[in-house]
Amino acid sequence: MRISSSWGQQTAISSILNQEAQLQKTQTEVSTGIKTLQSSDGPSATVSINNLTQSINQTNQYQTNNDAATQSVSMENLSLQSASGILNQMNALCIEAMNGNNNASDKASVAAQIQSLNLQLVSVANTQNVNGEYIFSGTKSTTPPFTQDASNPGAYDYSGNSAQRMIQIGPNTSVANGDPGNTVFGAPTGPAPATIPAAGSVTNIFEAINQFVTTLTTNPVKGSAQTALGASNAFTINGVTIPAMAAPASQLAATPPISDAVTQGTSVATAINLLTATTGVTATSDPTTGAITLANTTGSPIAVAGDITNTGLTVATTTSSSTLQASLSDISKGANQILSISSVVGGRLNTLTTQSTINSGSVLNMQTALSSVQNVDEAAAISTLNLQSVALQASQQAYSLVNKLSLFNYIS
Amino acid sequence: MSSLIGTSLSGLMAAQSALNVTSNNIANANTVGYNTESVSLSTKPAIYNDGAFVGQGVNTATVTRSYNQFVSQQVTSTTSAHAQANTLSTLAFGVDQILSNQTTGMSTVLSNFTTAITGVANDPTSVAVRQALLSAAGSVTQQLNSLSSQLTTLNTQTNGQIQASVSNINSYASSIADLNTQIVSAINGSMSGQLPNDLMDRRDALVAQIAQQANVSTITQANGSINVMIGSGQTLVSGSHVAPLSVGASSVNPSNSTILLNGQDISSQITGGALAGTLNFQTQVLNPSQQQLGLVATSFAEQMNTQQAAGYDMNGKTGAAMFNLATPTVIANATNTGSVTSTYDPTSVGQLQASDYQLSYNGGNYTLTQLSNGAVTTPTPTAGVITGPGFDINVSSIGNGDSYLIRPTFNAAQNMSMVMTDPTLVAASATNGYTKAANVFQINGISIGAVTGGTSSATQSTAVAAAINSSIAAYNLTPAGIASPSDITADASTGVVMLSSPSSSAIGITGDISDTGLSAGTTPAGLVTGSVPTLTINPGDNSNALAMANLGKMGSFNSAYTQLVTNVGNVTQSASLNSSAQQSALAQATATQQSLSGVSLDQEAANLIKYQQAYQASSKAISVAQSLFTTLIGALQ
Repeated sequence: MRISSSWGQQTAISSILNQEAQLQKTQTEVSTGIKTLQSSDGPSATVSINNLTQSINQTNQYQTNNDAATQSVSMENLSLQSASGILNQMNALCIEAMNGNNNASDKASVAAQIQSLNLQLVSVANTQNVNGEYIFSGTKSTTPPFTQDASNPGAYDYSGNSAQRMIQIGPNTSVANGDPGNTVFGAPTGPAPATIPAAGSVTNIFEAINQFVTTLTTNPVKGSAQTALGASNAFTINGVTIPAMAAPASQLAATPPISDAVTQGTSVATAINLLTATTGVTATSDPTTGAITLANTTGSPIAVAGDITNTGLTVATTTSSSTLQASLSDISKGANQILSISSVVGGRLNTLTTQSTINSGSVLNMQTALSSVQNVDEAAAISTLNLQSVALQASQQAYSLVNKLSLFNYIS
Repeated sequence: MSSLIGTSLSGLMAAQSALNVTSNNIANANTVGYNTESVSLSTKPAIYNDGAFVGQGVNTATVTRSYNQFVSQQVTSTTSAHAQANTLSTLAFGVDQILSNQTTGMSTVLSNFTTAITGVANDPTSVAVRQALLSAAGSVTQQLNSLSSQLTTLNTQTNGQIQASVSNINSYASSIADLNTQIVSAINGSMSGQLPNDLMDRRDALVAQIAQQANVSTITQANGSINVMIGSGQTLVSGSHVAPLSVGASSVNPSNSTILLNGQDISSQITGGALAGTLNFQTQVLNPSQQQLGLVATSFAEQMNTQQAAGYDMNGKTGAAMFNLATPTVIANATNTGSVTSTYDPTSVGQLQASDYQLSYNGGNYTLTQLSNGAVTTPTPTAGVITGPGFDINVSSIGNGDSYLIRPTFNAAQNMSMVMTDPTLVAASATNGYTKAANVFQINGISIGAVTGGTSSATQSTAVAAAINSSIAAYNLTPAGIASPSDITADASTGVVMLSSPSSSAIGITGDISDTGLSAGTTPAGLVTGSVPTLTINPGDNSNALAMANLGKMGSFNSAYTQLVTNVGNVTQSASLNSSAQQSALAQATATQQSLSGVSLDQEAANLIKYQQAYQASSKAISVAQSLFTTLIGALQ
């Protein structure tokens, strides 16, 4: 086969150029360490690379979330621990207060100590985190959760809500960021009208503590709501007869007759208060339910006897010590609630730690897989580089050798 | 004697012309398209003289060029195939680089955006974190805009390239026509039909040039001119007549070019050459990329906007749209009489396809064709609106016989913009404050039953008014106040509740009236106008932000983009493999052609020696004849 001179040149040069191009590509691979610089180098590899990269990013994101959640949950844990510490102190004081040998001034001084511990407890409940958010307010995190009710000093209003913020720490795992105050510290009856239930059924711990203190110093006796109105009653308080009560005429005259607990309660309380000087007992009626609360300032027992149906009063005698006992059991229930939330929070911290370990293991696996698809085997690449550069040198030398051959050299 | 001189002279002449041809070959050794010429010699007719036929010398019959039609056609067709694959591969490589690159591609900005949303979900009350989300959203939009405009620029450049190719073809074609005329007249003018080799070489070179641009075939006519056919048989050059090619806009996709010959669209018949490569680049890479990029942009923006609208921002208001998508492009046919408009349908965004649509209306029937796969549907409009997959078309002003091109995704990435500037407008919360547990309040001492809060001021006030109404109905309150339901009014727009007592008796309101739209206190005049319920916001609620983060988590944005990148990568890879294969085929064909008609300098060197010796020998013969004559004359003196 004839080789034309120009074609011979061209093939030699183009093969040298091809080898140079391949050498260049290998050089780029060695210096960047990446096999598939762009999609056309390996389209199916590109899909794996993109998917793996995305999963790695996602998992790293979960780890960041995990750190943020750990911070919040740890802060909640610390707050709950200090709350439990305060309650332990309070428990000792309460038991001391219930000692029957105490007189009024002893009781007053213990009451003051308990009250100041209660205020400390309220400030723990109103803890803010570094962002200024209240950790026990649920998702209404810019308002403080617990405030004293304006109309009823012993009651508290809860201004947060019951929602929890969830943080995603794994593909199917979320963890709550905190607990709402009404679960941890109990739901109070407020906001207005805020009436504290009878001792033994108070759910909010601050209100329970307040009630303990109030009972300790004032011995209140709470009645219950009545709705049906009847004819006149006659009953005694501490032996003093309270005159019969009649419903307001206007309401009795209505068709049908109007039964209104609030108005009834107001009338009863008014009648009792007319005789306070004699009985030493004051009565207040609940503006919503009409229930009557009797209190005295000496802390001595209040005895109620007679026909008290539909008056909003409770039956028989109650002494302060049983009320105190009931309040103490409310406080214990509250403390137990805090402890149980503490253990839930502890469980959350465990979940966070476990998930963090799982996530970092998963990231490592994915990065290994990514590297095997994407990265160049340096040793293989370098030896290919050597091979190709030797081949290029050989081509170039062959070219210069062949070019020297020409018949014109031999014919003068 | 004279015959001796004559014969030697013919030998001399022959050697001389052979040497001329050889030196011509040597001079043109590197000329592109040059075919080796060789001298063909023939003997002069013999004369019967003295009982024998005596030869009279040598004739230079003709100078022929080594040219094989079949081999030449092989080279032409492989040139076209290689040019097509090479052009497509080079152009697609550029797009692939843009899309795969970390700084110009979308992967980094999309993952930054997902990180930013998760940041808001972790810390919804922080304004700084929300600002970071807005800047990440801005980056995504910017990147989409820039990628789309790069593709548009490439398209414009490609159209320019097509224009240049076509004008090149036209100029080559007219040169071929001129050469045809020259060759025909040269053949006619020469004695015994000698072929003008250099003209023919030049003509073949021009055909090869056209083959670079488009696939051609030639037919040689009896008079020496050739007809050049382009594509699948459309005549470009016929003798001295040229049919000009021109470039037009495609009716299917106005931003693409089509090739027209005598007004007819022959784009689909051009299957080889750089022109085919460029046209394929437009249809296989640029258009689908632009469509898919638009699909990514549309689904991203719509999903984010929908999720925003499902939540409440830091001010307690329903989330505003974060991105603005404009509307799908509608291109009307020149002969249309009516008009249509189109909008995106957020509820069916998942059905959007990376395709354009053709809508035509004829005599009451609508036809909607999806151009990517040719699927045809005949929809009927409801209230003047046709529902397409992911978009709606308002056809209330359509004219009979109209036809429109609807492009929901083509320009979406270009037109998308980020419109939210206030970080407090990011809707991280899924609840607002109208939702409230039971309120208990009293009117004139009558306890009103619990009111479960509504989700807006309208529903809230309506619920309160209804509760008051049902409680009052159980009593007869004529002496004390409100008598009938008409005395209780609720203003839905502000949420204010008004109570009036026709007897002007006092109305006293006590209890928990927060968010009810009532005001507390007693009014002796018998008319109570409530106040606008205060909206309590849950700033720590991150549920909507979590849902937004999940949109990105599903990978739907990133996987759509990955699909785009992989498609381009596949086309590029197969084009480059094809290009290498075609290159080998071209090299093979060229090698064959060159071995046949290329100049070998060594061969020419040998020819030089050969003809030089022949010349020397012939001139020696002449000098011998001369000395014979001199001897003869000397003998006669």
